[in-house]
Amino acid sequence: MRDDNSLATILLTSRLLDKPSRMSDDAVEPFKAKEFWELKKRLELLEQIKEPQLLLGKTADELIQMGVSQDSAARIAELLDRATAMAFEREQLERSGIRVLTPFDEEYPQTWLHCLNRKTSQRRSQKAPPVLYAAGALELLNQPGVGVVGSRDVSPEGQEIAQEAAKRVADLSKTLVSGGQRGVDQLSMNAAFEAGGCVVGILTDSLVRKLKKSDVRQAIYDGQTVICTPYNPDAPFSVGNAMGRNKLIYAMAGLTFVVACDPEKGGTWSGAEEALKFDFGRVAVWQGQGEGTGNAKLLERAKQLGKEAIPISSIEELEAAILEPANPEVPDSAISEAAELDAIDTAKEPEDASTSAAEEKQLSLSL
Amino acid sequence: MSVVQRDPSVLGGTPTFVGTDVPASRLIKTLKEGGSVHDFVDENPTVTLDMAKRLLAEMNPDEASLSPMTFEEEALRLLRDLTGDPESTFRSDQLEAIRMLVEQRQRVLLVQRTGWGKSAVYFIATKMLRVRGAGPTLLVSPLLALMRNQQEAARRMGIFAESINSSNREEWVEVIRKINENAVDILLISPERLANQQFTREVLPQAVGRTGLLVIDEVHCISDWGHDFRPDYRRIPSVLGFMPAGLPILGSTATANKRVVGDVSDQLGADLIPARGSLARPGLKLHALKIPSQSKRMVWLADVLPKLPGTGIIYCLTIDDTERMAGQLRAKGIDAVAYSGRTENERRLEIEQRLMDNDLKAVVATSALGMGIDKPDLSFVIHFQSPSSPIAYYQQVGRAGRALPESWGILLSGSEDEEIQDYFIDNAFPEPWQAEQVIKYLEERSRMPGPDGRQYVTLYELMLRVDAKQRPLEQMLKILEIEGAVERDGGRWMRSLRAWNFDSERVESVTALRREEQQQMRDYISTSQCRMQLLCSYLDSTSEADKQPCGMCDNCTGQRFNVPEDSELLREAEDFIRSFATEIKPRKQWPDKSRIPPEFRLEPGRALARWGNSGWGVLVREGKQEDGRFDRKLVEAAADLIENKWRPDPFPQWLAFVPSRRHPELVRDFARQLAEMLGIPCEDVIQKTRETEPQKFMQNTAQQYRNILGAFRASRQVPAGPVLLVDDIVDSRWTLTVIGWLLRQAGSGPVHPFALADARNQ
Repeated sequence: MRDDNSLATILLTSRLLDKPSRMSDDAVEPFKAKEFWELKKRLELLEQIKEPQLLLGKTADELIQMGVSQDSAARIAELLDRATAMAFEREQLERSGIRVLTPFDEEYPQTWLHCLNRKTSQRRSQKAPPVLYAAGALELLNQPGVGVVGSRDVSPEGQEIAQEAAKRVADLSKTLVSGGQRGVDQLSMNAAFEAGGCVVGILTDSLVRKLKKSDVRQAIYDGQTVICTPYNPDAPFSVGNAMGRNKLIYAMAGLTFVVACDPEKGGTWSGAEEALKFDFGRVAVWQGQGEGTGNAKLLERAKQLGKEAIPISSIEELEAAILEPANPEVPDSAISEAAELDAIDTAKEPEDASTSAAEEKQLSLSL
Repeated sequence: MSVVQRDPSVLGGTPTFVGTDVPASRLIKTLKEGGSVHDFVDENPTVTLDMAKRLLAEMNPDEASLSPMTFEEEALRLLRDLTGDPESTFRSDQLEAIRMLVEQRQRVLLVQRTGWGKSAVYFIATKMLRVRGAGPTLLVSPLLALMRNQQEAARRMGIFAESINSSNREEWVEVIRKINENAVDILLISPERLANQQFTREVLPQAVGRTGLLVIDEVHCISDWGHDFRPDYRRIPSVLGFMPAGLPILGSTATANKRVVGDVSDQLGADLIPARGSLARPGLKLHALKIPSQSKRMVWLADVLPKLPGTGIIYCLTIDDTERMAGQLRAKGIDAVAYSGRTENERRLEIEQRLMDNDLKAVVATSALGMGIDKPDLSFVIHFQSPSSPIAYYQQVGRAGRALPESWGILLSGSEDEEIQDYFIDNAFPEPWQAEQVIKYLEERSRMPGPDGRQYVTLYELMLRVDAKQRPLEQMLKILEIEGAVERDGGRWMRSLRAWNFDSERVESVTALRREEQQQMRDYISTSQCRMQLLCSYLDSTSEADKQPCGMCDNCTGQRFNVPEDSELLREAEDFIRSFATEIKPRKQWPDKSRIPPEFRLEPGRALARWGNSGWGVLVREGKQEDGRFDRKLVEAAADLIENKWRPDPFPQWLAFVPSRRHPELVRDFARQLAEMLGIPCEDVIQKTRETEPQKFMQNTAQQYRNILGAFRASRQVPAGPVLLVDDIVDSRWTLTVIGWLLRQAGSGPVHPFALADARNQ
């Protein structure tokens, strides 16, 4: 049945109604992920509201009387006012098989709430995406998975390792978690499908277009995959989104296998480094033929951070790592440590500093 | 200048005092709570005393008197503005509905007969919500525009309505601009717009940005239990599923049937305000007559119509009947026009207007005429055939005489009724195996895209693989699209990503209900009980008044119409049916949509009769199915049609016929006699090279084409002049089209096709 908390969340945060054709300057800005989680926390403190659903059907005036700040009240009322347009938009999406999930839905990946909203520091807290667009076998979003990542231009040996790893993941009845891009992503996804395994694809862009591909449709008909994205289903590629997406792979997978990365640059490196830093999930690094020039460096970096990255030199070792029970809860000391490191590190986060204004907008949504 | 602004950047367009972010409604609130204007200004220092006083002056005098106003008083004042009558009061359900919508922001299903005053509910609710800062009302209704008098009334209480529909496309931009300026209070859109993908994608989001109230008129159309379930409405429940609480929704219908109402309120998630009033229509004289023969019914109509006062509607079950009957009535000097789904839009509007103006005697219509017709002085509604359910009948007959002291509702029942009803019942749903064939094929194609990577499949490709006729197949695809099983891109189809199962249990129970309703109609026709009373009981009326005899119907009064025996008139009517030749339109495309070059197409042709039970159709059927040869009368009638009425130009210089291997003599014999009578040679120039299945066994046009492709050959000696191409039955037109093409290829002149009977759309 209808979940009004979920509907309210979608109205507050989704950018589905941002259409290029109706770009006007006074268009109301949906809440960014961080803003949303802050708002949610503040609402919990308000006696008369508590939950987002109680915002529905209220005028700005009424919200102010219930204790919502003047600024937020108008913005909230205006966003919630768009319920009809949003309902038509969603009906259209659902018709093409795309569900819109929020943290209030049980199909939403629970590990994200656990890993990404963990309080590691003021700045890094509360980053799980408030909306997720997903098509296919939604139950896969909450099943134990293994990530396989690597740069786009991986060597032939690296390709082989990625495929073997994916096949082993499938053989162990684990779900492969992948970014769905060219290179390692695509190769490992196809290998998993061929081995009869299941795949979660977390995309940065173009969900709608991806769903038109016949291999993807086949996998969906067969219940083998779920393809999802926290960005608009028709969003074009953007670097910012790609950076924001990486943590979702690590957080969902529990264990992520880095086949190849460049030293201290590129998406694979920064994704793995970030995952180590903030304990999004365990990181395993390939040591052997086809490894990337940055793989050894990544292991070193882990040590510097005081974290563990698992060196893997055979598929058997990978299997052992996969079957090893997940880490116990990260102790509090680790959290404060990470927080400090975060504070030091923020000054030189390249992806934030170098993004253009247009990407900034996407980025902000990207948690 | 007003002291109130609606600036979207301030409180989202809520009316505020100019230059401030203080909502105007706060003043009213202060007053209601017993405060004064001075208290208000003290609490809101950005508003000057002068501004507050001016706002009070702008408002109604009562509002300005500082006494707080109750909800009921506020609503009542609006009602009186709306009606222009300072004495008018609410029906209790009206006020209750307004309260549920405005105060509790609920979902409400209102069941009330037409003319009860539901528009007052949504006008007043709109105004009250608007005053409280809500966005405009979205009204989904088959009415294309509000009636002029309604619009004027709404304007009196400061409500401005606009509509967006397929006929005012050039105004859309302007309407959307007005909406964005917050200058529209009610936006009316037609349900068919909702089924248009481009519209819902591009126009709708801009138009319904901040809807404050959603009203769905004729909401029973979302239920397939209902007699007029409309695919266009089917999206509405799924859209509502994505609408959060707090957005008030009003569904309204005049259909009180328990099963429909239950289903609709479930789908809306709405609280029900049931009809409490009587369904019986005072002054409506119900009659029912069994007249099996069509010709006799025509004679009856020609006789009775001039005696009935005023203007009315004659409902038929088929489009052909509307056209044929309108023609015959006109021949009798009665001003009647046909109206159906086949009538062009412009012509429809013209007919509707003439009906409104009492500028004709009768509109002969299918059920396409009705919704959206609000004519209080319609003096009669006659049914030429029996509709399939009491609800359908009540809704149509109930359009008569709403504001007349006396009106007529006459149901004629004929021998063909059941056959036509059965057709509708049997074709309402796709057969499960057909739907599964479609889904299976589309899935296959999704896995193995065509050579160009295409996953979308054309209708033609589907027709070759699915055993269903084109129309039902298209209808099925529409239903499957609504159910989310298939996606459409223009005229091509693809399996969607959603799981889908054929709900055969539901189909079976709906079909069983249809059979039950069919039986109720039989009982209605043959009953000796009060007809109004019986009809109301079928509609689950709870009103005590409806349990009493009406005192007006034929059974109550004992007054009945005579069934004419006048044989002269009857012969005339039969002649008329006989003279009703149909046109054979040339096909312009092959089934794969490639063009047939104009020089190889057929000319427009004629069929002497409709295959079946009336006119010449009877003789054709006897000839084909019983005698093995066609009656000489048919040769004479054909020659008469060709020489005196049709007169094909250039006139045929020779005659060709369609050969048959199964019955070689039947058509050849007829063709030779006809050629002789026309004085032109009959040439045996077409050979059948292989046996084909009878076309009637083919499921659709694509399969029919494939069936006859390559089955015929033209001989080398084809004469050059224009030719009459003769066959007995025309169905898909593929045989005639292919042979016409062969003849033109072989060097003949223009090909005029002729068939004895037309078996299309039976």
